[in-house]
Amino acid sequence: MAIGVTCEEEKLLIRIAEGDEQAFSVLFYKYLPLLHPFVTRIVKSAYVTEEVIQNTFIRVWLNREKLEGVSNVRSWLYKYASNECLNHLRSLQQKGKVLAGFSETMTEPTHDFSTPDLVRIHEINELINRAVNKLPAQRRRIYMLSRRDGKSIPEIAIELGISPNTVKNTLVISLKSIREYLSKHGYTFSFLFLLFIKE
Amino acid sequence: MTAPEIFGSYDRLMDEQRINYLLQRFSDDQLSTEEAEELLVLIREDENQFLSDRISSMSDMYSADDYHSGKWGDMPGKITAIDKPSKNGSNKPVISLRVFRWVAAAAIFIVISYSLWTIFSRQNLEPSVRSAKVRVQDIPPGGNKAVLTLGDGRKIVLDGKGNGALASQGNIRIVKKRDGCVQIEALKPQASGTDNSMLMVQTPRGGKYEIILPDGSRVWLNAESGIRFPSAFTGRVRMVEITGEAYFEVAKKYQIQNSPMKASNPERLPFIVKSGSQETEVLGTHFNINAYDDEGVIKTTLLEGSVRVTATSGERKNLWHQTKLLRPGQQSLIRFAGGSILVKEADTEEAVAWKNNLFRFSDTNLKTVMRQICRWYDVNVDYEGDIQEGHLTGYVSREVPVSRVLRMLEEISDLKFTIEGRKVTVRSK
Repeated sequence: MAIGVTCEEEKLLIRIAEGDEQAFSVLFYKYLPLLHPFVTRIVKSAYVTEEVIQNTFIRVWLNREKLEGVSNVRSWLYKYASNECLNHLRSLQQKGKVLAGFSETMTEPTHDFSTPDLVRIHEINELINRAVNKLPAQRRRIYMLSRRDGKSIPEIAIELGISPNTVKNTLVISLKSIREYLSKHGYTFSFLFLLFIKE
Repeated sequence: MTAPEIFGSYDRLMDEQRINYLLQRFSDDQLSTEEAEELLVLIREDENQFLSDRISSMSDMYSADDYHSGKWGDMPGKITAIDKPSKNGSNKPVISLRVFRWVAAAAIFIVISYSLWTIFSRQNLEPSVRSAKVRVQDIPPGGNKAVLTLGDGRKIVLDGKGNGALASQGNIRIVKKRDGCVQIEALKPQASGTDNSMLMVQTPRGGKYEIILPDGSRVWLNAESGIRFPSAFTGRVRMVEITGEAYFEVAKKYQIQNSPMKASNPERLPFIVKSGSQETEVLGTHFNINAYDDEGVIKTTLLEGSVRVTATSGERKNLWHQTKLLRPGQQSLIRFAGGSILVKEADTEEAVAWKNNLFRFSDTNLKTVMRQICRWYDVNVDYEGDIQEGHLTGYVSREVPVSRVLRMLEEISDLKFTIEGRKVTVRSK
């Protein structure tokens, strides 16, 4: 297994980097059977596993332009997933400190039936909406054509009379500023670890 | 070799040993929380693909489940929608987010219209009449009802008012903590050999109850179910027996060690549930057992922790009983007629919906749906004429009269339900 990325997978990664949702879905289902048992064994809870996997792939999607430089997707995803697992385990420790005063039999069950992750997705979406509204006019236009109208990079290039490269770079810049905006409002999606970037 | 060289290679050797140790613990599912964190940090900082190769090559690290349906079916779409700008204004869902999450696409509309209907109907004194017959002969939902039988045969009815101490027997006290919850309290710590009697709590059709056992474990009983347990958990295991359906949150307990040498290394005190031809061994965890006789199969669904399920019926000649270990999110099925244990990924929400006062059907067979309704409303069902045995998906509160539930079923199927006294008749439209 010396080759981390096959030719086909490389094409898939490029498509995802450019915002192809269907390609993202393919990646998701390809690696879910591998990540799911891994996460489950670490966090030992079906509820938490779902949240961790979701957060992992949200991170992947919001950092999608980096996928083009990835030489080993599987390892990349394990890292993201491990990071999310760590976040969870550490947040449990925080909770544990708060509950330490109660005896074991008094502790409430740690799972709960509310869906913090779905509320979270909604919050993140709201923040992204605001971040997009703050983009300079041309960048916002290109972003809308891509994400709202689902147009491909060549299509946008033709429509606006600019080069596809410019479109692509603009989208990357917009995605970065969205991440910055999110991070200012408490959601860190920036790159936590540097690896496997092809020069 | 110079000193740094020696220590350098020593460090590398130690690292490798440590990594191998952690991977072995992971493979055996024996990682402590600290070890898990250590391993996760190593994976995150892994320079070559070494760790991910090792992990993915473990035989049980690739699941063959179909992830395209159920809760994973709409996840990629939800994720990619996260940075889709909304057209104008925000697109907040009209109904509660929680409902939105758990219901399959086909049933979302039904639940929306259902919950809006209940909001409006509360404001009007006269809800719009769809079928006068159904309204007049409606049946209220089940409630907190159970009977506790003490070791000496005394029976205590657990519904009605009045919280606080209900009775005592020997070294235990029965305390009603609140409506629907009773606790069996040990007054003094129990030594082995103490006179130990068996207690029993049973729910009727239309009943449910929560019991806190002498060790702090919590059990929720569904309708037409029961649990037998000792007044004190002495001995090397904690054993209870159930019929019907129960959801457990088992407290971690350790054995009281008499030998001072063992005091610093307490052994876990296992919790074992007998249900028909199955034994479930538990070590501090949350799970649901469905062992109704008329279901034909014993279903055990694990939410958190770990359990070992053993099939205890079958050939007496076989000394070896079938046994399987469950991981969170998995469900085991054992047919009453004996045979093997089937383990599969499960919809844990569906399995414990009853405990949260909900009916939740996820592609559920009609007869199974009707059996659940019969137990909760204490009614009987009659199937008239030729009925397509379809599958139903939906989500509705258990705390409503039966007509509401049946109306929902009518809306999502091509069936018609009528109520006469305590009999529900099902026909094709």
